[in-house]
Amino acid sequence: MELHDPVPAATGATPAAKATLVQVEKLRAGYGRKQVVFDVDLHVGKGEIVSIVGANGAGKTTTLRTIYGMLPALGGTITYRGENTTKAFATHNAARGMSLIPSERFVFGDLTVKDNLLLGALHEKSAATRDARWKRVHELFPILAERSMQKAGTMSGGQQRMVSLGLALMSGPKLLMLDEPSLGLAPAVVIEIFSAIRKLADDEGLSVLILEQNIGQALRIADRFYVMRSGRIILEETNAQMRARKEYWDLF
Amino acid sequence: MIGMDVPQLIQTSATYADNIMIFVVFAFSLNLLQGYAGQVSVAPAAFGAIGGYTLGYLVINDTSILNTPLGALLPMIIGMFGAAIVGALVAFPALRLTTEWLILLTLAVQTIVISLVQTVSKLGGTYGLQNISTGTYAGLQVFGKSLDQPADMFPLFLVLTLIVAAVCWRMGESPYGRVLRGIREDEIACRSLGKNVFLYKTVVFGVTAGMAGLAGAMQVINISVASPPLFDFSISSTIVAMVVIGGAGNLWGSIIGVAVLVLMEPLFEHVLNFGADQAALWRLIAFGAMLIIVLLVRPAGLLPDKVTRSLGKTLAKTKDKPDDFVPHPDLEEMHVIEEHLTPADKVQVMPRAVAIADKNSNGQSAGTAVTGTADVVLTVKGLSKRFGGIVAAENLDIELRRGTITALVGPNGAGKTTVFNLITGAIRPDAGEVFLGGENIVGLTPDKVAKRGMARSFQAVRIFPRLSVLENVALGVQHQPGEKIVQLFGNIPRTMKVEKEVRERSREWLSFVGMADFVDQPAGGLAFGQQKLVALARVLATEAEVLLLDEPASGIDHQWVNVMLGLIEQIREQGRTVCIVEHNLHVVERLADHTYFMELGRITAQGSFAELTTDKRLAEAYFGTA
Amino acid sequence: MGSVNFGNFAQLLADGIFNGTAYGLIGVGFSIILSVSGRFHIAYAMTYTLAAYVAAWMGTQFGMPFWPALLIGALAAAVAGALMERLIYLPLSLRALSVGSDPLLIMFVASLGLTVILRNGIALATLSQSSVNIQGFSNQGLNWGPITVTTLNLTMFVTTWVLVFGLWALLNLTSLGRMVRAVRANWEMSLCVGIDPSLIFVAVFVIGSFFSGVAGVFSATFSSATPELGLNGPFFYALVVAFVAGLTSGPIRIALVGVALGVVEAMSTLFLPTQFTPLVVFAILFFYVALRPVNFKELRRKMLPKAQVAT
Repeated sequence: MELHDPVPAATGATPAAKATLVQVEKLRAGYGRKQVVFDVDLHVGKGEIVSIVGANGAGKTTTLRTIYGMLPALGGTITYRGENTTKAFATHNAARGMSLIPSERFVFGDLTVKDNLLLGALHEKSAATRDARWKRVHELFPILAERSMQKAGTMSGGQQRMVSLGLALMSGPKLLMLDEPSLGLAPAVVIEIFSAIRKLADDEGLSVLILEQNIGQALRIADRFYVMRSGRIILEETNAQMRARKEYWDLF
Repeated sequence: MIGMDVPQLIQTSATYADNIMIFVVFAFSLNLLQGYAGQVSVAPAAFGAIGGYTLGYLVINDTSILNTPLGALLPMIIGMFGAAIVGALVAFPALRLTTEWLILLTLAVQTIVISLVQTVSKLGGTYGLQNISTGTYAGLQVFGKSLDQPADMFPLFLVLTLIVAAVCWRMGESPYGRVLRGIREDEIACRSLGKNVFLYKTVVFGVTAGMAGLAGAMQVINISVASPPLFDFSISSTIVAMVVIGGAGNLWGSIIGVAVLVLMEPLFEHVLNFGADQAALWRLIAFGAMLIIVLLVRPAGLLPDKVTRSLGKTLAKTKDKPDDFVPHPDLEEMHVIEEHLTPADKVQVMPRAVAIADKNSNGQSAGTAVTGTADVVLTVKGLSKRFGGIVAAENLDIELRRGTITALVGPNGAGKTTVFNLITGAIRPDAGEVFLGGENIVGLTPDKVAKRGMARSFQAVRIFPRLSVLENVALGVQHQPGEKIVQLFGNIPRTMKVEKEVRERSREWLSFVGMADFVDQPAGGLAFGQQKLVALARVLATEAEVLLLDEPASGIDHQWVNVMLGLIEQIREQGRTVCIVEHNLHVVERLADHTYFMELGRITAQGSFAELTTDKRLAEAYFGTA
Repeated sequence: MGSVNFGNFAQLLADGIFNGTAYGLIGVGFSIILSVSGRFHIAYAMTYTLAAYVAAWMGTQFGMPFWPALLIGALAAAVAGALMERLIYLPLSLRALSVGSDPLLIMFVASLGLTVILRNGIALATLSQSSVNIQGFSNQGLNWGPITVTTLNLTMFVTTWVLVFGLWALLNLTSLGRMVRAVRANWEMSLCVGIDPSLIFVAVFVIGSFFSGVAGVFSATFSSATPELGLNGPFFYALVVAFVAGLTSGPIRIALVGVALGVVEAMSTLFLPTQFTPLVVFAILFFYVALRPVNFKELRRKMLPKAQVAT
């Protein structure tokens, strides 16, 4: 399997020259002494949607959580918006525009939709900005207005996903990190959600890092792909290259 | 103390010694329950109350009970059994629930018992039962010897303490104790190795409650009163503190814990010259503070058991150092070791010693590994399970053939691990049958399934961190007489002999996986890849016909994966039947003789891996549509 | 156990409601601590007792009237609770996680240690005093038809419900309350939205301990303050109320469960001698939990991994 060299941002060789928002170099990560991520290099540009694909247990989630600051990195560096955030905590990164939606339990089930969304805007001081985001979120997902007072945990899987996205968007993120967003959702719902994400990336320059096992869905919106297996990145490809593949069995 | 004459000195020393022994018995009982078996309890004093009040009540209301040669021993024994029975009853509701429930339950027991003795008038109410010894004809005696003075009680207490120590020692430092410690570390793993965890818990709860009851009876004899403050929540807390400070899992530690507390009294009273009342309170405050300090600084206690101490050292040395620096075992080397494994001369302790014993001297296995021709060892028919509205499994039909590796693959949420849980009995299916060796095992608990020849490993590994590597594997070996309480005490020579063989056997399995050099190391200090090898050795040690391996290649980098794969292939060569759940498709491609493809709880395809990967629809199901 | 007539029955009902209100107050405080932070905080019984002693001291030493003394006592409890969380539970939790131990049990044992220290510390500090009483409340009986109620009962009833509704308002109408409910509902997601759980833990300890303090002062006003005040009946009842009501319930529901428990306990005296009523309470707990196990896994999730706390 050939490993394509990562396209350097500086030369502008990527289709649309994008500045790098987050750069990860030689990342080693794991849980306590159990290392599961080995020497991972990746980057995400501004307004770019990047997908990491791989089987369960490949280390995708661990990578994501380490970038976010929920897990301490065991080695390597993470640079976000020009700042070295390798040792930063989740609360610090959240305040600086990183947003993470986990693969399971991604809403506050006991709280209403409205409370969920308000929590997303916790760090936002300006009421005007909050209201603007509130409008935007309800434009993207009208159902949230209808179900405002319903407990999030009682909604369907797809609706909960929308709540979780709304929650993330209320914080006005610069980098949105999604862990298997299409899991358990009907294709139509996935299309709706992914369209919204693509729109945000195009209109507002939101960067997205999305973990997926479902390559098919990821191909809808991702500009670039990393493939992980056994804790390492084994491949980097553009959307066109990934799309052109005849089969994916040997990636996992 | 300085101005005393010799008789006074003897009595005072005896008083301290008696007090120490009473609490040593309490501490031993709690240590066995909590330190070894990991069952938290805040009710040792309550069981002491049962024992003590039983003695007091019997003596006061029916002095004829003292007329046997046993004298006061008889009501003591009755009190002990009373406490033991209540202890076993109390354990019963807690068996199916998690450890934290025991906190709640034992707290309830403690509160209820004290509340009852305080309010029931026949038990003396707030003041308790008074003057227990003087109310009788000749005072309390045992075998004709009076128990008036502290020095008189000393020999009796000493003998009782030594007996309790011996029982605790035998139960704790033995194959039986190894199971208890396994339960402490990971109950689920223990069940999967064939241990009837419920039975162990009930026995241990009953026995330790009885010991606590004995301590309570000793206390009542000691001061001739049975009253609520002797057995209240503060006393229970103090006993917990003694065990935690002294060190869990180590009987010497409990002695230290008790001695520290009891000897603080003369420290405060005579050395620091506080008044008697103040000293009593100060030493408890100091003890409570010591508990918190120990938890902060040395949570395992002053003198924990050997493996825990060793583990502490290992963790401190390798703190924050991830384990990719650990070299991988050499497969070539492992092949060489394997050839020496034929235990032709060994006593057939384990009747199911299938694969290894079947090998001829060249190391070639007797089984056939050709799929389709080998006989079916496990048959699953129509297995179904729903959780609420979610279909976890629907109408599953699976066959595992001898000497083959079968793989279960499928996208996330397909229900693969659920299949393992269903067929091992961890979850009860709604419908369907599972035939192992011709017998339908649906409805059997995981430990019974393991005993019948199907064992599993876990994706989360679930080794026992505070047990040594050898002990981890030894827990996999089946049919150990030392694990049964009757044999443990009744047939000591046989248990010792078998234990030697068990250890030898375990060493062999560890050699097979390449971990022979680590036998005495605490399993919790190993690198993750090494732990996976130990877990593999452990499940192999069960000598089960069918091995279910849950994600054997996950969480480790590719070199460790290679080691794992080599071992699994050898296991197949030996004629065992293996089923794996895996997400790493390269592993499946290399290993699987037959593959089942699962989607949303249903099997939608089966065949060889090559066949499945040519199917476009399956590719879409796995990777999604573009 | 006399014959049942309406007068008896009504009086029992009234007594049950008042007792139950006290149980509810204690239960609400304990529940908010356990459900949000996951700490099995047995030393809760000690903040209860501490408040009673502080309030009594305010009365006897400074001649403070009842209400300010109660407030000071409850505040002392709140501060003590916050200190316990910050200085003991949080460091222990982090340390346990860093060596891979189970934090819940270690913190529970620490809680036992705190209980021992406080119980005996209080006894030591008041060794010379024969009895410690809350000053400034003259309790009078009132006759309402067939039943007699005391002004103390009524005061406690009203105070409790004011506090319970106040907590409800805090939880549901304020931003802080939303954060508390968020941490309780899904600790991990709280991190994802940038809530620092350790701050929320301190907040619930303040609230819960305050409630325990108010309950303790009232309890001591009924009788007197002793070091054992929290360690017998009341604390155990708080546990029963908290678990039977369910750890995700709101304060109003928990308080109502407390009242129900009090009424059931009172009614059981029609059938059993009084000394066996704790058995009734225990039976309720036992059957409820046996049939519907508490989700302790959820409690375990509350434990903070090392990375999440800004030290």
